[in-house]
Amino acid sequence: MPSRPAADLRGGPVHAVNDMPDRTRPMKDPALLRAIDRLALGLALLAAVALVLLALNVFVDVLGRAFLKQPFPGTLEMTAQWWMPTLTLLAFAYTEKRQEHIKVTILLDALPPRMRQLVEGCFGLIATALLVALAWYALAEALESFGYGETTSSRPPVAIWPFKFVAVLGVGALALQSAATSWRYFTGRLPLGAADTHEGEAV
Amino acid sequence: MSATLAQNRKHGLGIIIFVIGLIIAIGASGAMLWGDLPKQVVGLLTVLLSIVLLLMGIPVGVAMFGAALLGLYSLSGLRVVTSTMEGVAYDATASWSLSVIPMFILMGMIMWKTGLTSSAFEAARRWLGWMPGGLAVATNFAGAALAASSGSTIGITYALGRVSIPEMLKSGYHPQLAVGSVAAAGTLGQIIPPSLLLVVYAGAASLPVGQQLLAGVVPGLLLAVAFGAMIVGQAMLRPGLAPRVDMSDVTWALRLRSLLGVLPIAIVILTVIGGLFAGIFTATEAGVFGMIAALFFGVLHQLSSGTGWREIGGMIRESLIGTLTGTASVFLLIIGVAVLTRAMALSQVPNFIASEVAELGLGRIELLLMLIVAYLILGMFMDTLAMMLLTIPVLLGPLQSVGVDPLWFGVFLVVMAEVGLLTPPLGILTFIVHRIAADPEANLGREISLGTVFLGVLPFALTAIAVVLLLIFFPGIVTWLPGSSASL
Repeated sequence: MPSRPAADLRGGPVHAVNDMPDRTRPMKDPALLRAIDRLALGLALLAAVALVLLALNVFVDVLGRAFLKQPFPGTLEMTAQWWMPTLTLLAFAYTEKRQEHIKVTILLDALPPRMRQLVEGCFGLIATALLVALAWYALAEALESFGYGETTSSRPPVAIWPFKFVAVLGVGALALQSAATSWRYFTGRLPLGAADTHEGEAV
Repeated sequence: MSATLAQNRKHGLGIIIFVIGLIIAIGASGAMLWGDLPKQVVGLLTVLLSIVLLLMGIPVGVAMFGAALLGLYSLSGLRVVTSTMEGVAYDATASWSLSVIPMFILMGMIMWKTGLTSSAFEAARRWLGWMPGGLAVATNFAGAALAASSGSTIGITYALGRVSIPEMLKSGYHPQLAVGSVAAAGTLGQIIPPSLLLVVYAGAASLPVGQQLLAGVVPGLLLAVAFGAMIVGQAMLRPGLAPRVDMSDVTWALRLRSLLGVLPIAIVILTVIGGLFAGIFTATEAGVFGMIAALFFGVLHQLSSGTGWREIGGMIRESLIGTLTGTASVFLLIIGVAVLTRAMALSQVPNFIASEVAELGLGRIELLLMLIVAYLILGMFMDTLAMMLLTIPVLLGPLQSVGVDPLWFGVFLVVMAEVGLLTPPLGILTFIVHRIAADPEANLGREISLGTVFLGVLPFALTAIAVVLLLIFFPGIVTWLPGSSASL
């Protein structure tokens, strides 16, 4: 795993476990995998921007309402239709790369290590297939939405259609990352170190 | 030699269970694809398949999504499957009411990473240390204060455990009480708002988020008081468990000064809960202002202790990353649940259960008592969020038909989910406390086994269940505060 492109977003040694040093991993990841990782990181940066914009948008709205008797127009629509899909969907792939999607590992932990890798690799492929299908149908929806320039019915109207493509991008990148995860299991690059359970870590 | 033998036996058992799971999954899928089954059976198979797949280790959101797609196909054919897939990713995430989730996570992350949470235990120790079991009581109420300012169970457990476990062991506390009180304090995090689980529940059950959050306040405080009383009672019955701590060096001046340290926490609490109660803020707005308060005091705290801007920037960056991955992991589940909910509605399983319940003549109380047992069992194996989200679409309708208030059920569900965090074999909070206590600096060179931790949390889990019983018999404890608030 290249530590260089990832270093931008990553907060120092705390997460070093995801960047196993080269001694345990003599081979470099193939170019395709590095590209997928970079895509995940790039999208996560966009998601971070959306997160900050959400907070700013609501903050300005409340201040405007309190002091100028003038709420920021479209706050509710933009938060729901723009910032939320962007900050959640575009962080999917990066979350997968860091193996922080919620899963129950009690049974996996009981399997012999090599079998666990094969099983998780196969699961990754199943997930990839489902996600590719999801991205495909999301694309159909996005194209349709683009076709008639879908907006909210609020005043002023807020454009929805561009963010339907965000959904395609987020789910598509997650599908790629999930395939990458499979490959990493099959080739023995995952799991990393001691299995840390990530169940509801955010919660 | 015997270690490898045990290892082999564990692997053998693992393989057997895994193969059984695989057979069930394939059987259920096959029946749904080709069988000609009544729709209630398809609905139940969908739930069964979700559970089997997620226990086998497929990411929870993907497991629910996949199983629910099969269910939809079996119930209504390919067209419903494709029309569901077209909208679900965007529609499930494009939500105003759920936008409070990233804000609550960010607020908690900032408080944790900037060290605002670390002053809580010291303040509670100075005020409550004189009581029997005083340090454990202090841990408990520090947990309640942190729970009211950040929704992160794990964050609270870390922040408290690192400080209070060594402190208690140094004072001669029994390790069971030391680790048990930390784990129990962590469980308060999801009940006292801001609580992510309550928000997710409100979203899944289509309830007003602000009211749902307020519904958690009184039961959360009640739980904290019950834990505190239980600790005091234990310490009085068995003084050896928690020797009295000499508090003669703690003057009133020191006590008052410690309040200054927790002032930021108090302000964040007031912003979020006060703002919600008075109807000044919607839940998202409360989250944003709480987050800004946390950011302001966190940066101030770090600057006053001489940290450079560079490092502070690093803390904020880490908070943002943790928020993004945390939010994304929750929303992948929410997408899965959106599909599952549709499959459940089409299968009419909820109606089926409701009519069965009516036929059996089960009343509200009998049904809820049965659910306590069911959730205890589910909580042993399933992830908290998965357990909640999987059962809401199935149970909410039937429960309402016997007169259970949905706001009330949210609180019930979250308390039961938190108990699930404590119970073996999959008590995630127990593992975390065990990990904290594995640090020689925390355990003072005295090894604390996982068994000790499980024994230590047991009385707290029982206390929580007692509180749940109280809520069943006096539902007004939950519904009173949201009913009297100005929150919409």
